[in-house]
Amino acid sequence: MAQHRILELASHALKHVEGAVATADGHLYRLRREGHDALQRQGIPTPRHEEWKYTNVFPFIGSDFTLAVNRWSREAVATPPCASRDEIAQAIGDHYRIAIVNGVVCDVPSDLQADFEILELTPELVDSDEAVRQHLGTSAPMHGHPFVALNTALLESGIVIRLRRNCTLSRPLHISILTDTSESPIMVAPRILVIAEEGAEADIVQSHHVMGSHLALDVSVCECHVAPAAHVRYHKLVDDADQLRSIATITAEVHRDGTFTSHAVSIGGKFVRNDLIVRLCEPSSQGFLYGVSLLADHEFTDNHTVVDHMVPHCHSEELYKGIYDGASTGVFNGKIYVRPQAQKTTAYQSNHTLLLSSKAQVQAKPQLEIWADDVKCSHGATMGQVDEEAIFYFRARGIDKDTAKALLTYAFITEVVEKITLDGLRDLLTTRIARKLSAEALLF
Amino acid sequence: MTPLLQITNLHASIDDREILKGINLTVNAGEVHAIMGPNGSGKSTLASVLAGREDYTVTEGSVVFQGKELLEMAPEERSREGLFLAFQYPVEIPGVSTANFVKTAVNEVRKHRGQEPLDPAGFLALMRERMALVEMDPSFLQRSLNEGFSGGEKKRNEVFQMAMLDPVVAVLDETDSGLDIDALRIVASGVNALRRADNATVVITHYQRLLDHIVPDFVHVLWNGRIVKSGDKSLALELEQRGYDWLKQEAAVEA
Amino acid sequence: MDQQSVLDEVVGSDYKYGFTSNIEQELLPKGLNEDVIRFISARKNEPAWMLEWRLKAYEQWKSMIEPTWPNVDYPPVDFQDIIYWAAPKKKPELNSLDEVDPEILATFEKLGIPLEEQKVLAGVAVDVVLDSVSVKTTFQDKLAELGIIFCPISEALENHPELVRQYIGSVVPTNDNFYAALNSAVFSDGSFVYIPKGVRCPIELSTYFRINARNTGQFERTLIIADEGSYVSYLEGCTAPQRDENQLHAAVVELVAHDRAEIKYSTVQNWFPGDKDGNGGIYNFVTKRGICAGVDSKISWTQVETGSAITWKYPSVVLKGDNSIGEFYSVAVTNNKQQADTGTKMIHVGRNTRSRIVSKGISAGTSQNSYRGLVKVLPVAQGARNFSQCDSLLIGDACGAHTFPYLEVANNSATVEHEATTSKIGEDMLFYCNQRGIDTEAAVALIVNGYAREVLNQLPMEFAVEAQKLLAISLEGSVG
Repeated sequence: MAQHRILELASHALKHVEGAVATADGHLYRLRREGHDALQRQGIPTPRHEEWKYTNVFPFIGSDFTLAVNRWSREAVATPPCASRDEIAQAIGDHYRIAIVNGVVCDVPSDLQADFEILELTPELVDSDEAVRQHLGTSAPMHGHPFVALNTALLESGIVIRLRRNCTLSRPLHISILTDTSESPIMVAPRILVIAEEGAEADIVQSHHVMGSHLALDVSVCECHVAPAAHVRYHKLVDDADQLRSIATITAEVHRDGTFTSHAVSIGGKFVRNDLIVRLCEPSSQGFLYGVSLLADHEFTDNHTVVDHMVPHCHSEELYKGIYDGASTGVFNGKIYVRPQAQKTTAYQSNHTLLLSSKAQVQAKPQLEIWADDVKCSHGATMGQVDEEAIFYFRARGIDKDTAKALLTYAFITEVVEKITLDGLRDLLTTRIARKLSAEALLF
Repeated sequence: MTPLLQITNLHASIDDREILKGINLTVNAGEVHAIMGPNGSGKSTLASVLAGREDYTVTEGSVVFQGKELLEMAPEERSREGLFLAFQYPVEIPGVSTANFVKTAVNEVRKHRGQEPLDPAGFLALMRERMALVEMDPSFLQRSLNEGFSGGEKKRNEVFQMAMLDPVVAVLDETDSGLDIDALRIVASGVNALRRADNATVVITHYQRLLDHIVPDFVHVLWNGRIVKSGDKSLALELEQRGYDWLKQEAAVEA
Repeated sequence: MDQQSVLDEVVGSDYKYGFTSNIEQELLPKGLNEDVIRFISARKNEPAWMLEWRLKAYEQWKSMIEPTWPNVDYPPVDFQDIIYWAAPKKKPELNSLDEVDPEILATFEKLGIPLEEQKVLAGVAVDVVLDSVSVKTTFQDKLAELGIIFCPISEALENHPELVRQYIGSVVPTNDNFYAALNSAVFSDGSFVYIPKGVRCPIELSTYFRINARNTGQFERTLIIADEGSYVSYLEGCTAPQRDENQLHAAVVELVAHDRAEIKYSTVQNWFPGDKDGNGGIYNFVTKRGICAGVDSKISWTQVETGSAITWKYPSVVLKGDNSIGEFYSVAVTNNKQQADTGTKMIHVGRNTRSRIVSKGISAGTSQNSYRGLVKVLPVAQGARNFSQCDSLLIGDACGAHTFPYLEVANNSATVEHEATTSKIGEDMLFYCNQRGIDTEAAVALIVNGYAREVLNQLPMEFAVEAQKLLAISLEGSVG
């Protein structure tokens, strides 16, 4: 049973560390034990779990994973070639890069600008650095999120990204998570902590890749602390390799006048589950959540988002679009939560889907939970197909049906991609979308 | 003759910030008063305080309306007694038709005056007649109150309601703002048609333009919470030419 | 008085009609077991198959668990602490309306209920003019001429057992859910309606029903069958306040619409909601479902829900017949400590099926109001269309409004649209009304009725007027 194997791995990993460090009493160890307990208590979620109602992980994950333990490599490690990673790297142009290969953090740049740090997340760092201790494990909840618990239990090492006060990252940061499964199925659990201090600004791209013919179970967690007036734009991309199982949690705590913008892009992907939690915890903070899922064959993407309006005068906007072809399935679950004290909240969410084939499916649950009265909140969801009337209009102008359909579909989805401000990345994604829709001819 | 409206040394503040700092104004039957002044001088605050908006605290002074202490009345009582405020920003109420809203309001006022409610047919006839005053299409009656109305339509709807409620004193708060010249003419002629010897109008505006259409008997300049100058309609023309700065200086010297 | 305290008073109105004194009843001891079910069945002279059906449901119920997913919170129900059989004896009748609580009379007056009907509702001995038996007879004669069957379900079991047997449990199976299973095992009584082919029921099944539907007990069972090409409009409940000794209500309603048939089912629910502090009040756990079994059939649910402490109710339509239509129009008001988790399910099976959902939630006090709805389009449901509009209106800052729409689409020719908004009754709105001479209480009523208009319009005319007044009353306070 897959469930047992994963739980076992987690238990084993924890024991291993505690055996080695007999008097393990640091903050990180406590956190890991909490994660372990939370995981054992909750188990791997089944569709009976409301948040996993439409997503049954069991058929997608095997049972014979080898756990790739998280660690850092001080030496220069040549990262294996990976075309999809290189494509992104090339698209975003000049950038800072960092790679995690089978759990090993390598390729850490040494030429960082002065107000920018990339640190190894170690028990010592957690104990000695107050900010790290304060922000690690605070915004990603383990209760109700068994995979966060799993990731935390396995937190032997990780990456801390610190943007000092008023740091404007001159180049985007690209974190690529590569899993080489040419020998056996591998489970990795990368952990990232982003601390954007007051006034800092950064673009971060997190991409997930797999090389090899066996399955990669990639359970990642990234927590972002967005201090007052800081602005973080986070992009999560997945490879369309059939072997990748990406279960990613990204969380952000946004403080006064800060913004957090998220782009979750799945162009393909056999199994992708994204949990995005944005907490607007001080007045005038803002969250922008964008998502694109373009699926075919038996691909599957589940986007679960939570926007938590904790205080007054915050604003959030959410736009997720999906196009599902073949026998693919898309899931969207978007929750807007407005707490009792969060008056003057404005929160808007929309979710639109096109189903291109008779075997494709969509499940959506756009939720509003409103506990304050002086708010403006709305959500809209539509599911349908390309407007026949519009197709007819195109045909009446001499454009054939397939081209018309491709053009309309392309226009439908690119509306979201247009929100990406990294020009090179946007262009790459636009091209990939066109390619996937067989609509390259439409690119000018 | 007892004035319709007598404002004496009126002070009002919001969030402990004093906005009105001693307003004195007497409005008699048959008169039209214009209150002008730069932005932030307290014009809209005066309108709000008269109508009873609770965001403002009256700290001093009195307002006597037809012999009764206005400030002690609830907003709806003031309305039923005959004080009308045309809102600068009329509120949209989804699902409530204009007809239903106006009928409710008129019948409340009639009840207050000890009159029977109007029968539906008579009411409809009256509404159509009064809508014609402001050239409003009767189809507006069935639409939700102010919802999706343009700026000009909202202002015309205010004057239409004024015509229906037949107030003793009407306070028009920036009723001209955002109107093009045609709409302005329509609104003004509606207001003029309602002028009688036994009622009065207080026009609050930023622009002299409106006063070409609604000719005032008195013009008052409000600045920094006080009426710093009063005169006849020629004062408005002077303001148009010279702006407000000279008055500010004058007021500063006096103070 | 400032706006906030006016609002508090407006929404702080008490339900003025507590429980009445005990009525003399023939009682079984508390608790549920097979013998209780056998007893109920025997007392009703039911056929053997009916008893077996009940026992099967009981067996299923025993292995089921109470649902915990609704967004409501209440102490657990002790199912062994309930009396499952209480034959109502003659009610202690009052001699005239003078003996009735003046508060209740005032409510009747506000709702505009005719005097004679008031007497019946208040339990006053009725005179010959409106003897319920004669009214019933009059209607029965008229309906019988058309072949319409309209009677208590216990009577239908005696006179038309084959019809009941064919349809009962066909829409809501005994094991559908915990409360449906319980209802199937112990249901007391309810209504049975059969409209024959091509017959358009000439009257709203309403006035008669309002008078006679009392004392059907806490486990009510209703079954309505509209045969090919027929039409019926059925009204359940009453705008007048409903008192009941029983805290738990678990009704089941099943509707079957055959080819080209239409059923319009309207509900006004005003059970005792509990007091200001949340003491007492009815738990209303209802399973309502209709099946558009035939082509071109239509089922329309309209509900105005103002009562009950806890409401858990999702009137649903299974759109099986091609071109069939399902509709759900709802206004749900919660005040004080009330909690409602209500909505609908539209299951699209047939081709070119259409559904429309309009839900208007109004929360006041410290209440919680949730919309929960499912729109499901099966792979075979070619050309399905759905439109949903779910709005929430908040009065005061201590209440909550929640929407949980589930949209599951497995056919690419489907079009599903869902919109939801949350807003409040703004102080600006109230002040604007005040300035036009409308006091705050009347303004709240005006705004709420405007907000709910789309739903109220679906009710039969005379009911709509009462429902509109009811909304105002349920949000009313003694504004001084």
